[in-house]
Amino acid sequence: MDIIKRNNIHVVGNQDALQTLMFAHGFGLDQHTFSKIIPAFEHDYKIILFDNVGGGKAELKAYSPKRYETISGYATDVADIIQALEAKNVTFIGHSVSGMVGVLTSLLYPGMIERLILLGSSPRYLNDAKDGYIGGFDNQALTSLFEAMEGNYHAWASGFAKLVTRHEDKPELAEAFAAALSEIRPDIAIQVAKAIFYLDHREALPKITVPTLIIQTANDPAVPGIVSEYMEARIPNAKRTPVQTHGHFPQHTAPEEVIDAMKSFL
Amino acid sequence: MSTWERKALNFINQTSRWDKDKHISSFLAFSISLVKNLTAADIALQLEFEDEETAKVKCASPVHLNDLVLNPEPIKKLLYTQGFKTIYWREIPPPKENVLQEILQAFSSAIIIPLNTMPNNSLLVLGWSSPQQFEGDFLECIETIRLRLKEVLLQSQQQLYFQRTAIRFAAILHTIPYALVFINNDGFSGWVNQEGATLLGLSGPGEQLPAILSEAMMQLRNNALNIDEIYKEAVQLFSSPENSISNWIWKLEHKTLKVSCLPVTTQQISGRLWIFEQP
Repeated sequence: MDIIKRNNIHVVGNQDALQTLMFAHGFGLDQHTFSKIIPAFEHDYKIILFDNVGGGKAELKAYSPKRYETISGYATDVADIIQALEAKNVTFIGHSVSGMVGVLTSLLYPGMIERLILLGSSPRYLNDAKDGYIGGFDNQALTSLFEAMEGNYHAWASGFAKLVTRHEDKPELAEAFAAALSEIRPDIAIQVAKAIFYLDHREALPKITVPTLIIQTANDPAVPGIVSEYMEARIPNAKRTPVQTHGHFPQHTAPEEVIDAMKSFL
Repeated sequence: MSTWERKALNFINQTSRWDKDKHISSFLAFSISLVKNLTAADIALQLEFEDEETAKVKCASPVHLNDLVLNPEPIKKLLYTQGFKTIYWREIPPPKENVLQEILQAFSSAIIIPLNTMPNNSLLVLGWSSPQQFEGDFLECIETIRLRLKEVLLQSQQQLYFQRTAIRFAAILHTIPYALVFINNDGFSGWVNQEGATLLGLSGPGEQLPAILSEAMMQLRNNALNIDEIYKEAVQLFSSPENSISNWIWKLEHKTLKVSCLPVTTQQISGRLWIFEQP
């Protein structure tokens, strides 16, 4: 299958630049989620934008329940894209689940990614009492979440969007996210959500060899602050930058702070 | 007998015992782990072609490689060009030619063993950190192991498939709100769903001997208030194995049953399906 079509890839910015930024969106979003960030880097970087299979305008018939049963399939997609575009000097910016997708790609394909920027990412969402790990969700919460998704997906999308945006002063954010979630085929959304909420890549963190920036909002309902501290402590060459905004989408609610943090890191 | 011949025999012996003693779901993982130990490999895993987009790592040692997804197309091309024979890489090819670069990082030698079974084809990958020569006796050992591994894989796949099928059909049949009883004409096997077991006062659903089912059904029939009518219909029904009946009324003290009895005839099985409805 044509990878450009499969992932609805767009290459923008400075095509002659030596450095590449690859932006990867999170669950329920698409490449447009970075629209307030991109202009700040267009002059100096080649920029790769794409949609994850199952979301956005990616090729729907490319969705394989087997390939995307875990996020490993998405990591293979990222490697496919970088290889197909022959991209060099790649900094991977992964929002939410795509942060861990970038981590896996960097480990499986050494040299392919030079830097990682993890925006509201988590190595595990489920608490783990055995290890004293707090991911933010317990089993009961996740069971309820999936029951709600399976019971009435569109009602769930509306409620979930309000929960994770956490900006009552900007209801349009939650409305836009709910609309984006509603556009995903429910069976795909449920499978992808399960792949995300039950992932556990804590063991991958100490193996990361590339410089890593962790960007964490002040109050993220999907990723508690303690998770970003956990990651910073375990990733060998990591820097953590808090962003003074609420919710799971700092690229929407505090783009200037995100840009500053990225520029400082790059 | 050479060391490698002994190892091949050891593999056959150990895998022959395992499937009798242990659960089938771990049979393949055990066998791959055994190959890894016998060959002193540093990495061993199964790569299964799950669909056109997915080749997935399973039964891996080290375990962190499990669930890794690779693109199947380049790997299939390699297998085709090598005629689906075992591929011995004394040296790992350069990255552009190495279709398994994700799993063979920093290894010196590797073996790729195709294991073709339907519906999902697989291969076994073994890798070594230090360079290997793969000489005569070793090659024969690997080919012997390959043949046995194909049997192990086929046996595992078939048994897991049958288990899944049995679970699915049992769930469907137990959910049907009628008492269902199947009596096989072989005289040795029968099956009853949960509703049927309750109606006939049996200890539980599932496999039952036809004699037990017939006895329980006879008791039910003997308790009927319209026993003479039931016998008349029964004589007619059993006059030919091809006869069937539906809307057959059995009046019991506290309920009335609408009974159907249908012949089941396929190439593999023949018997009678009894359906008891409470209108």
